[in-house]
Amino acid sequence: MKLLPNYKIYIITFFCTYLFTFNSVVYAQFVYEASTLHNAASRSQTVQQIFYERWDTMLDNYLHFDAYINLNWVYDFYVNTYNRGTGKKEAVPMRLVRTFSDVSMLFSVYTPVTETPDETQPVDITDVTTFRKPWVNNSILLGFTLCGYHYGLTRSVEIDRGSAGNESASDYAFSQFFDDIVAITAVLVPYITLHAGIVFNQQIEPNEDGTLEYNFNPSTITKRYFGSLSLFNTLTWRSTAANDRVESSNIKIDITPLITTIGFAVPEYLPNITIGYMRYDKYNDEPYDPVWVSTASGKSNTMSDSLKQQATLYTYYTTLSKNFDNFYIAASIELQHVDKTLVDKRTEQKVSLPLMRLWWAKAGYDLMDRPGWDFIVWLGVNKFYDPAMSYHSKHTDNDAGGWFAMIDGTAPYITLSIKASYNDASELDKLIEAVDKYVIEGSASFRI
Amino acid sequence: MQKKIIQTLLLWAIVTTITACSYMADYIEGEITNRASFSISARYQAGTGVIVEWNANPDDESFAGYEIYMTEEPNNEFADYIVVGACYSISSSSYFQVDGNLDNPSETQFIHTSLPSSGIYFYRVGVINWDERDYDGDGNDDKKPSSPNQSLYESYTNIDEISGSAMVEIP
Repeated sequence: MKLLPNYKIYIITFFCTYLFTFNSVVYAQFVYEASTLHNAASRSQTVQQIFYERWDTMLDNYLHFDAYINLNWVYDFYVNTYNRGTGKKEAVPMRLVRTFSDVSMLFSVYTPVTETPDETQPVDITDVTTFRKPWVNNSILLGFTLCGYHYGLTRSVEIDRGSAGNESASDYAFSQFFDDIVAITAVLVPYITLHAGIVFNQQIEPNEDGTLEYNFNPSTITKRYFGSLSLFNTLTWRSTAANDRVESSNIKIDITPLITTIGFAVPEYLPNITIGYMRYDKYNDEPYDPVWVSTASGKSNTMSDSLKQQATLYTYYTTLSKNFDNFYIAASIELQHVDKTLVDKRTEQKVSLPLMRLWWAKAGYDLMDRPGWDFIVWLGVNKFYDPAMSYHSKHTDNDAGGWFAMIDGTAPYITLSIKASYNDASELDKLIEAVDKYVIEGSASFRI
Repeated sequence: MQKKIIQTLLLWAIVTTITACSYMADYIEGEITNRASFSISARYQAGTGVIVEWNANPDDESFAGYEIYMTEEPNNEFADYIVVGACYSISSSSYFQVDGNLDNPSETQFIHTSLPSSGIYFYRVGVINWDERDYDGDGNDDKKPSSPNQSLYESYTNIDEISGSAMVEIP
């Protein structure tokens, strides 16, 4: 194992200690109603994004089984809440909790057998970076996934047990959201990867006393359908449909492996390049939307669904990444335009979206120099724009710069990760109300 | 092959249903943060006091007792809680009372008689468990001490489950 010089370890240790000690302190004092959590379309995007990330991990590491859990806490939500003691509403500090769990399985239903060993086929060769045997070309694999995401606000309760010490507990507060995916995967190695699944969106109201019953009621569940097709793991199409319409589509091309696939050598200096396009029915005249579509005239947050209009956001992105021994760097930009006029709900003025929706850059250093084992310290910075930012927060404008710091550990059978962030673009993209708030996240996986 | 697929599917169905749904992810977080997990009732009865009732199912092997908590100030649902009932004398508060029955896992009621001044108060019930440790010095961890006492209770217990709140108006 190759370690950094001692002084660098002290710096990293100090920095991480700082992040995880002080970042949970409550800073901003803004009263807000947890509104965009009600956006099931946006939540479905989030749960699918993690689903696809898990499957990328499965296929990249030749896994047969992956169990993953992610816990994410966003501090500093002050929510106008009715106090049954005073009979009045007051700003009460809450914590947004987001939890995700996933179990995926993949097994081979057909493996071609060749009479004479083909040296180009790595049948009995274990990949040194994953400790697993790669799939044989022309194999057919079948996979299944069940995963779920819970979002909700909770309130911390402090309890003085006298000489037995102090403890804390937590109550559910306001609507709790439960989104689950059931999906099937089929792979023809290395040509085609198919995913198809259903997202179940459910909202449960907690009891007045802070408890909640998991009252699974099919009549209250809405469904979305999603699918994905990837060719040669280089050209990927993904789409989500709800009821009678396609809500989002995403096309992504991994340029570097594409060059290899079509038979050209990739120059050593060339980074991994990904380009993509996404369309998403983002603005729907819903109460949580910051803008009206086309016009504000005659519109209100209580109008019927038949009067609501939709505007589609188109984004175009590119990501570059490159490894230099133990050093990793990556950067991305995303451009945007919208197909209809957007009108600010507060000012009734036309909203002009800037061309650049977000950019981010990150760098990581692997403290371990051992195949299959990683201990990577990541630091990243970013900028993100969303017209909902000032609508749903005290933030005075609609863009924010942020950062994240993460420690990512990987061993052959387990992974562990902890992350702290402030205005991280990926967090704001999931939930814009997370702006100007610190986010702490931990995740772990077990895999075979 | 068909048998293998069916077995795998069954295994997947069982494992994933148990571990990989949004309810389970929330349940795990709830365990970490001591989420309120059961409901109680509380009512004021003139001449008797506040009657707190619950129906919990504690783990008998580790169970140390029930504790009763009350908001430390009147007319504030979001105030901190103080202990007002336990099976050992763990508080010097004038509202605290020792109730020997609270170490019985089948106990379902506590009557609070050392009441504060009038106002709206909120009560909760905590299920207290012993920490798993070597109490008898034999080198093996024990679920609970063979001879519990106040000192051990103060040092080696924790809230395993806690109820939601129940509102009471004390006249």
